[in-house]
Amino acid sequence: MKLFKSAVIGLAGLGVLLAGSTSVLAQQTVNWVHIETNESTVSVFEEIAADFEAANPGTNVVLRYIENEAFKATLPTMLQSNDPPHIFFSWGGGVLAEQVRGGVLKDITDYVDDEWRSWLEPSAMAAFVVDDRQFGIPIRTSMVGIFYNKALFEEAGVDAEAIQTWDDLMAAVEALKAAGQTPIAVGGAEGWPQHFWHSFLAARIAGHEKLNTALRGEGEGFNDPAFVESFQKLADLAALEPFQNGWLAASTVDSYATFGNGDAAMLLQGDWGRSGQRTNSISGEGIGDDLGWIPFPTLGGIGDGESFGGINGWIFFRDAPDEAVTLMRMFSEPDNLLKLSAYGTWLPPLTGIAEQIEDSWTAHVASVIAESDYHQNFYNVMFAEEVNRELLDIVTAVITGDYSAEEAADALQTAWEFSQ
Amino acid sequence: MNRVTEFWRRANERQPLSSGTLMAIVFVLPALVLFTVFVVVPMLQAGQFSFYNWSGYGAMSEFAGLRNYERLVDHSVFHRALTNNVLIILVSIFISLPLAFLLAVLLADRFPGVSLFRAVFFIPYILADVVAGLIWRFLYDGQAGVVPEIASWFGIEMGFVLADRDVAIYAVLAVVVWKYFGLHMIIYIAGLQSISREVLEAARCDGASWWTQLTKIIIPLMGPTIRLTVFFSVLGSLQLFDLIMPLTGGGPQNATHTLVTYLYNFGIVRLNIGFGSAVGVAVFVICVGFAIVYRRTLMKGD
Repeated sequence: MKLFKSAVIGLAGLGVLLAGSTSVLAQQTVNWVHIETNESTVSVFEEIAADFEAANPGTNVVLRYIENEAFKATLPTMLQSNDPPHIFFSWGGGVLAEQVRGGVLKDITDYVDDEWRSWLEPSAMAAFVVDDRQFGIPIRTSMVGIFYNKALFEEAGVDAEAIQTWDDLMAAVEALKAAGQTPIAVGGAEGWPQHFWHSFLAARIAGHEKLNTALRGEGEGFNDPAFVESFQKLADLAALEPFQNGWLAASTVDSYATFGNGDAAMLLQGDWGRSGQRTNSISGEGIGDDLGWIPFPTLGGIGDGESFGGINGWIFFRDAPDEAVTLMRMFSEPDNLLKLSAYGTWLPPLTGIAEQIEDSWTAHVASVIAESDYHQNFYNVMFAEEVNRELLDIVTAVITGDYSAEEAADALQTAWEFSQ
Repeated sequence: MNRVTEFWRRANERQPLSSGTLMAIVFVLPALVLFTVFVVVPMLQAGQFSFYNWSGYGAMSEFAGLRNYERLVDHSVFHRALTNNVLIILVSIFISLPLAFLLAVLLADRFPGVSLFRAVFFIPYILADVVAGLIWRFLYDGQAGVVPEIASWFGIEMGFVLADRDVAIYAVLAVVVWKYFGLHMIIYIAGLQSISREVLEAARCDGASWWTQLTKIIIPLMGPTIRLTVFFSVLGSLQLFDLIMPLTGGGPQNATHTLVTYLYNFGIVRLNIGFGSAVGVAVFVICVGFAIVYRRTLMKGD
């Protein structure tokens, strides 16, 4: 009888133990969708996921890659499925606002305490604020600038460091043309690479205030003389026929190859263009030590002190578990972001870190952003996807001479009004 | 009486019409359910979406009435896509099909090496459309492509054809002909081989020339086959998508869109699901309209 009793107690005890352990080990899956193709970067992602799983037993982080364009097109469908991603990539701007309006995102304002805020760049944090609520965490900034080929510049007798103003740049393009070179490589088929030329001009001439005014539907909108002037400057550049032959059919990767093979003197791209021109060149080395980088010239406008690039971050699905946000807090810790920047393809949105970045070129670009008055997100990204693509078509039409500067500004304003 | 015949006699007796219909329904049901869930319902939904202004995120709340259709009718790129589709159809009917027919006549008879020729002409059709599109993108490349290189032997300066919006569509048309004539050729060969040899031999005995045989016997007897290939090539042309995307993506400057690449670019890529659905409805109406009219008239006797 005694034996029976102890057996019952033992079994009951075991049951309690088992029940307890299952509640501790209850599997919480965190679905994390990324668009990163760089292998060393992905390995850091995996490392962070593994560290998080080790620190939070019972959490299972599922990391999934989706190709950039496919990601944009399938995200609305994925978010309606039974297995939606909890964490996914965002460029901020117009699409983020649309997602917030659609009610598909998690408001993480209450998760972001002062400590977490302390190490992230405020302007980057602001890129993920909609109606005063925080919806995402910035993890990467990028900087657009002019990569140039030192050897080709020397051949044409152009001093890159002396290019300070837009007129200097126009003179350089003419000198390069005169020397029989292709001044600029651009991936025209995709639209966004040539949009950099227009948007940087607009950012310089109009500054971020005017863009925000237009985006609020105030003032003259995009018919403002500043925007007309930005299209006019682009038309002036296009009139010199600076791009490589067949640029309209060239993909972005093609343009990296053209520049990386030494067939064009300049490439206006984000900081990732540095590795792009290398990996897509025939030699696999790019133009090596001939690679130089200068900031976009000034135009005497109110935005001359601003920088222009992208601000990327992680945003969260409405029903994402708390673990998803905790995981990204860990991801955004300075140590992890610096680990990513060590490969020279990642600018972390951290405050005062330029000197901590190992890679000297990345550190230099980070310091340019840090010293700027304002870091402007890509223009096309600031709009809803529909206006974004329309802008790219408009910019291309200005370059091909189908739109005058006034027509272009008006077409952009019309497209923007239509989307409201 | 033999057991087997007895079984069939009984089986026939036991099968009044009603139970046959019931059986038919039971057998058709799985397919019917799948067809409803994956074809009919999405189609009806697209019809519904087309009346809304909807980005795909969140609830569909902004009723737009006929605005999406109005935009579509007014949109110059849609006109261009429609024109391109008509061009593709015309080229398919007046270039692809005659070419396929000619080759089929040459290759219908057995002679040494015939299989090799058939295979060579059929290979483009076997290639995945995406692969074919990518290959031709490289072939047309103005700097390293084979096509401009060959053209230069004849003193023709081709340049970057895919970057020229006035010429790009013709480059696409050439690829469309190259890609699909093989399929029609194989269908024609099958049709030609089913023409009874006695008829042709009789004609030859009566002194009919090759041309008379072709126009008075072969083509009339091939009528149903020809009408079927026209039907396939029109519908195939209207749905052309996979080949265009890697080749030009609809560019340069929206010059080479077809209806479906237009739908993808202006509906899905631009996150304008309502508008995209309106395009989908338009394409659907065009396809079904053509199919019904064509089958009711030209294919009536087939």
